[in-house]
Amino acid sequence: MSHRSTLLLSLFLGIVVFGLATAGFYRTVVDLSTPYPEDVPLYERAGSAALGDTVHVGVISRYPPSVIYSGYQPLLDYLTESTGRYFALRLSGSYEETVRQLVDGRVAVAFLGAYLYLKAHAEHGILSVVQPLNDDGTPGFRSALITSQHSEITSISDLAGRRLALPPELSFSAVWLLMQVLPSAELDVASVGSARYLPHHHAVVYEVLRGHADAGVVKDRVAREFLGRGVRVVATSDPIPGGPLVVPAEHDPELVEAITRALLAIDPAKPEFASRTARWDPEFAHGFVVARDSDYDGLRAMLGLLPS
Amino acid sequence: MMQPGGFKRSGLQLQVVFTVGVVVVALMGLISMTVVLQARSQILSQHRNGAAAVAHAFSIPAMDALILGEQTGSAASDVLDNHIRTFLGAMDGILSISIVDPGGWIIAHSDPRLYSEPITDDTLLRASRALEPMTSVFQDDMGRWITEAAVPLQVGSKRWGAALLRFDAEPTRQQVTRLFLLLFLLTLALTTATIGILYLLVGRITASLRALVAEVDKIDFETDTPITMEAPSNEIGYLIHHFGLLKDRLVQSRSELVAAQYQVHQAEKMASVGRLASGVAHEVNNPLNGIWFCLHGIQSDPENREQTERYLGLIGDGIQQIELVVQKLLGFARSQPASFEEISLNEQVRAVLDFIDFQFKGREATVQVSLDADLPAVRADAGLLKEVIMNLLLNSLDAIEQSGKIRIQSGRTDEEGVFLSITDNGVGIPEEHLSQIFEPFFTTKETGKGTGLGLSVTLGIVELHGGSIRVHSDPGRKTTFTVALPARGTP
Repeated sequence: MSHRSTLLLSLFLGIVVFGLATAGFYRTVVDLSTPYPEDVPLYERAGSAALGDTVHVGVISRYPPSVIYSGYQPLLDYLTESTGRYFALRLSGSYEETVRQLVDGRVAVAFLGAYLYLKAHAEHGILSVVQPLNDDGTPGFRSALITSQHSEITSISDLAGRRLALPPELSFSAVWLLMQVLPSAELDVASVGSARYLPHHHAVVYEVLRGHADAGVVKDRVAREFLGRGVRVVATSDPIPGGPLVVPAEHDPELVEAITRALLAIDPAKPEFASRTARWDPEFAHGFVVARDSDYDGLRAMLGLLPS
Repeated sequence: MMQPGGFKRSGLQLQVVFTVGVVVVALMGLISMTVVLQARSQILSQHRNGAAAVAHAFSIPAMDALILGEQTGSAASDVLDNHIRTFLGAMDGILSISIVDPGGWIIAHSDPRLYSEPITDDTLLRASRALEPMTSVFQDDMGRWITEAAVPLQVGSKRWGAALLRFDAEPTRQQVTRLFLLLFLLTLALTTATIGILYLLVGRITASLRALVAEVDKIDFETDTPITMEAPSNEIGYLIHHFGLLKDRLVQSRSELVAAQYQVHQAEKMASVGRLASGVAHEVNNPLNGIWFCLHGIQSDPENREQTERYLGLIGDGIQQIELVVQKLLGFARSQPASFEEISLNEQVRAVLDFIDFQFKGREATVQVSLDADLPAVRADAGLLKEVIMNLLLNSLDAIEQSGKIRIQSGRTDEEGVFLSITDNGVGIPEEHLSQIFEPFFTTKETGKGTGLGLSVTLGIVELHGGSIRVHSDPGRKTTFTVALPARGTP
């Protein structure tokens, strides 16, 4: 075979190999097939036994439903893991409905507000079990009078003729505004421009931020969430006992014991809780303390609810 | 094209272009493949991330709707259906949206006919149960490229189901295809251009080298004509310049070598004359003695006319013999430039034998001459060739000393040349001296009897005629010098 023939044959074979390699590479490049990853954990439904043993937990509609799920469901998952019983949220459309759920047994335990607890305890014998702690290790919360960052309102007396936004009327914050704040400046509902109840605390903040209300009252936990984001605190209440986890008068003592033990075991200083509590509602991030009914006597006295 | 010596004119050019071409194609291919794969990975990743982000954006209000439905105790399907339709209207590239409950039943879908249908596909069922958002790209039954994003609708352990969104992946695939073709064509163009430029550049270099080779072939060492090739201002020009310098040095060296050879030749010739001197003196002395004898006879008896005439004739013969010897000696010693002509080797042998005939007198030497009568002529300088023959014969005479045999033979060689061999049965040459006898000033003779230049000059003359000398010696028995010359060769 001559040199020229060898050269031409090599060239031809080279072109064929190059063409086949290019075609193969093209097929590889344009094939975008990417299957789902194999090692992703899958959701497993709880077994029928566990589902039958479900403990339904009620929550007053103090926050939007999605906020309640985001902050409360992880705590319920912790209770599920700690007690061996399955805890599930059961939302309600109002504060009263949660109390009704407790009374008629649709929920076994519930998170109530402090003022609502006083009423539910007095009317239905609802019992407090635990209340959340603050970052300083003490229980309780404050209500805050808020306004927008650029508002002219700097004191309670500036509320005259103003539009006010209130959380549900069975919330302590609403009661505090009407019974403590306005009277302290010799004002009443008639002397303000308007006072409107809203579905939950976050709705109050949004109304103030939108300018639909000149001021509002919310729990300090919600006010802190929006500090530096257009909200300014004008006044705060004295410390109030925290909203308790409650059970109806007729309850399962073993369940209460298990819940109490699990919640009192929460110690944010321990590493195993640090990452876990970060996903909880900020109100629960510092643990719980036993809530006795007598802890709320001061509040009763403040609101004139002590039996005469 | 083959060149003398088996070289191919285009060998270097093709070799360089082929080698560099293969390397360039391989490197460019490798780089392009890396770029394509990297870009493909980025495009695909961007597409999947985009799909995941859109699916996540869809899932937030979907989950709110589900929670709201749970809070109010009403079915969320109506809200979800509205959300799906609104989302599809606002976003391009979404093919379908479905919301699946934890049991694998469709609770909302962009195609209402699929409401309350179970998911039967294992892969899809698995995706609907994943705890993390994930995406998949695949080709459906109709050959369309689909990207599917699955987002769990879940908070903590509370799960409402999953949102499954399908996106059209065809634009992404087309983007990847366009990228591939662009880079392929770019690589092809760059590779072709590189090889083309390389071919031209190497072609220029090899053309310069060929021109240089042609110029070198034309170098005439007899003259100092400079290399006329135009030297470019690069390495080739540098090479051409130095070839010119090399040529100058070679011309100078050659002229110096010729001058030195000439001087050596003359020295050896004079040495040979010296060696001949005793014989010449004997040749001249004999007729001189005769002349003196005749002159003495004439002076003793001037009246004897018959004797005077006879003696004058003898004196004339003696003078003629002396004149002949002197002419031969002058002819041998005279320095003449080499003159090449077609001559007979046999005639030169006979002339030399005649010239040194007196050397055999007084010895018991037998000379056997066997010359090929049909020997072709050789192109040679007659004087130089005689010198070669005489040097070899004198060496043989020296070797046999007082008695011995010398055989002189001529004939044709296998290579259409002629040869002359001179064999003697003298003392011979030891094997350890065979490699040295042609070196200048090498001699085994007593001081004053040899210059050591004879065989060196002989070899120079033979090579000047394009011939060669071989020597074979069996010391004490036989030694043969064979001179081979081209027939009518051009020296």
